[in-house]
Amino acid sequence: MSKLTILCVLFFSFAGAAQAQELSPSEASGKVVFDKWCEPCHGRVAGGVFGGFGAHALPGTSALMIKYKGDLPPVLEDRVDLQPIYISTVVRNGLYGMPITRKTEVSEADLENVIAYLTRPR
Amino acid sequence: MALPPNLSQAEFDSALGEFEAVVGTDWVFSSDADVALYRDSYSPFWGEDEERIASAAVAPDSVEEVQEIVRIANRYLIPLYPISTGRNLTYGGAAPTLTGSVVLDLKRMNRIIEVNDKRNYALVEPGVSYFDLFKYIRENGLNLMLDVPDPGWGSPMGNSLDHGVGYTKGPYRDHFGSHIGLEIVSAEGELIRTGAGAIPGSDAWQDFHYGVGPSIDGLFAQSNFGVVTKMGVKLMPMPETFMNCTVTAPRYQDLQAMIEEVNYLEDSLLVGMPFWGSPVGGGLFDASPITELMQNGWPSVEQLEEFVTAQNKHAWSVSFHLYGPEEIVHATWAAIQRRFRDKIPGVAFQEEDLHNLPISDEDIPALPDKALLGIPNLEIFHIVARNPMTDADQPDGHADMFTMTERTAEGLHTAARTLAETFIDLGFPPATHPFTTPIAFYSRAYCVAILVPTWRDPAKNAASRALYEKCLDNIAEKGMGTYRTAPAFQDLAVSKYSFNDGALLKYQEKLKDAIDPNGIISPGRYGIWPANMRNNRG
Amino acid sequence: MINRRTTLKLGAVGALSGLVNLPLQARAFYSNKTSLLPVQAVYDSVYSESLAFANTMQLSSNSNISAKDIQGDLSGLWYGKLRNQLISHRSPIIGLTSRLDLFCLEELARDVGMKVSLRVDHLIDQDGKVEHQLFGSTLANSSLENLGHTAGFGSKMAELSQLFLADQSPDISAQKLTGPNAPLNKTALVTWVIS
Repeated sequence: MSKLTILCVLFFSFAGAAQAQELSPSEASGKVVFDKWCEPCHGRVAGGVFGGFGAHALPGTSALMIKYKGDLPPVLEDRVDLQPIYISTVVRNGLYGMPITRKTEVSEADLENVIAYLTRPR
Repeated sequence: MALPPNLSQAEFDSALGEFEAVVGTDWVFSSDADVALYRDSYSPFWGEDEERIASAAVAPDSVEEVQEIVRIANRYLIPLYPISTGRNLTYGGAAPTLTGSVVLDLKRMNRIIEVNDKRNYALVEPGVSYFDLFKYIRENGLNLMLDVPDPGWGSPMGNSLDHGVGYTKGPYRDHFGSHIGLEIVSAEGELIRTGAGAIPGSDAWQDFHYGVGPSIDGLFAQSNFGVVTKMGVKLMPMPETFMNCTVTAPRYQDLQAMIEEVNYLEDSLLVGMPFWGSPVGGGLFDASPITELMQNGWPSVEQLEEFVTAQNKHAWSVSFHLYGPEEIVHATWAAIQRRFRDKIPGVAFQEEDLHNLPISDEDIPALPDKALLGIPNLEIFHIVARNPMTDADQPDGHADMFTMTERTAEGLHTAARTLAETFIDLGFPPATHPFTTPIAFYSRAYCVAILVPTWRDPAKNAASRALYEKCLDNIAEKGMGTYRTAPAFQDLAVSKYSFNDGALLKYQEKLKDAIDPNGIISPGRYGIWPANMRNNRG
Repeated sequence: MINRRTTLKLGAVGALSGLVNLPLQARAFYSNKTSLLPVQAVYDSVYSESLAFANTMQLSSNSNISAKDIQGDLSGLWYGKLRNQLISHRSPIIGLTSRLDLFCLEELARDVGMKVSLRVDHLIDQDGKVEHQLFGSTLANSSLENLGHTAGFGSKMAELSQLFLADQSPDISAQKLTGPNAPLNKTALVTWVIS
């Protein structure tokens, strides 16, 4: 393969990768809300006082590791199959240790954006 | 849907219309779906008639709006229930004390008014969370360390007003004790400022706490005498370094000597929060490994010493963060070791690495003890998150009870034994045992913790409530009480503080009748009912 | 008694009753009343096929059927009584619902240690033609041959319910068929067993 071809392949592959990661305005807003309200329990990295089970996992991620037993990714941002109705049901009803979230905390618009972020096509 | 007591639907609709005129229609929540968001997710009465349910919620954005809402509530005799961030889980959350109350949701009032790192304080509104304040301090490069509770999404104001606690040095762990200056909307809608804030034009509101004459600040914590709209918070300057250090003692009977030494260090303000543990007894919330030893009742001291010897481990440990310049941290640690060595034969010491502060953003996620460095987080939820032990029947929440004792081994053991025997009597595995250690949230008292599961299942909740109430009864017989509790248990908890035929509560009721003649602010909160509802007492 | 509601019509509603079109093994199963399992059924009266499914279940000779209507709000049903009932009994449940409702139920069932053990996706095209895809069952596909490719499959699925409930295959292919593995028709209905 010529150097020019290699450069073209590299350019287009990077361009493709950038496009895949680019978020729409709604998804980007949702990511901000997710980082504030969801990530502290459902994110990836931990090391808290009580640790986790197995790998150092945050409480929500740790709970989902136990729940899914390897069938599904425990990190919410790694799921590609989440459905909007499920996300809104859990956010507004709570589930086990996760309490109800009010509209003065995460508004309906915020919730739609979080849903857009978590259910974006990948 | 619930209505406020003694109000018709038409009257309530009229009041809601007046609320909407103040805050806008978007910020009055009266549909069934919206009001359901104000249920207590961890309620010990979930789905039952006794579950405390709001009639509506109103979310103002300014002090003036709060004042107007309070005036409207007085006209209609509608009980209001102010919440800050409404994340007071295990203690009622966003749900009111009286069914039919309108929740006054202050989350929208989330301005950080001032943070000063030369005089070391912050002035905040109710809806500011610890996460918000931490982010503000970091983004503005301010040289301050917070003292945060677990979890960190609550409000510095709200947590303080429920006597919440944290993890750093003694004066800062008592969150209400480290407030400085309040602004309050009274039950009649008047605006009051306390301390130096009562002098018009004062610049010392967050410097001088008392003002002159009696301080009324304490009336607004764990109570219902007004709506707090601003609070000053004393903050610790960011220390230069910290180092975690541990002392262990070999024998069961070394505990009292250890406690006395730790009391000296704590009361001399030399150390951060003492973290007590037992290498023999397991961790803070572990299932006790000495269950077998307890099968024939509470073991004798001789049996416990034999057990410790057989385990070939030290009986007790205490760790604390030392904060300050490196020279002082090392010198303090040297002095601690000398003092312990002089008092208790066989003690051992362990120190971890010294760290410079502040911790960088990159290093925070993997930091194991974030709260000890004032970094808000939600990692406490590990204690209620699904785990291999709970997976088969996962609770929906928990109700906490912390038995408060004096700082002695005898007090600690009395509390642990009383609670263990209560659990066993009611058919539950004991949550406490002879190696239970205290939590030193308050620097001058001990907490002995139990967590009782709550469910979205009436039968299971009935058993949990019975256990919780029996624990309150039994510790009271030993002269002990709790420091904080959910609305479901507040009347009972308060009734134990009954010296001189309940003189304290009677005094509070007189104040209530004078300060809130219509009884509209949080009726029943911590047992204080307005005169026309005193037969509600549970 | 199940109340009829305004329903979402997916093609003409067929009328079907009786056992005549069932495969041999299902017919035999239904005839033997002593082997009838208690059945907890879930349906959504918003969909005509789902309503027909529930009506046929109720009309069957099995007196142990309890049917619960989502009524367009799964959270009310789940957070109401269904979850506590499953925790207490962990007996299988069967339903004919939207795929979105199954997604939620599958997640919520995992919380109580249960999983989708069988599903039949009913993919409906613009002309009302229905394709049925079976996952997670060792039943012969002949049991589905009688479903046909038009409306009216809801009540037929009810007639197969005992057969499905008795089939406790460990095949996990029935689980989590949304996302990249999902059949393309996102508005499909699905019959499922959670056990």
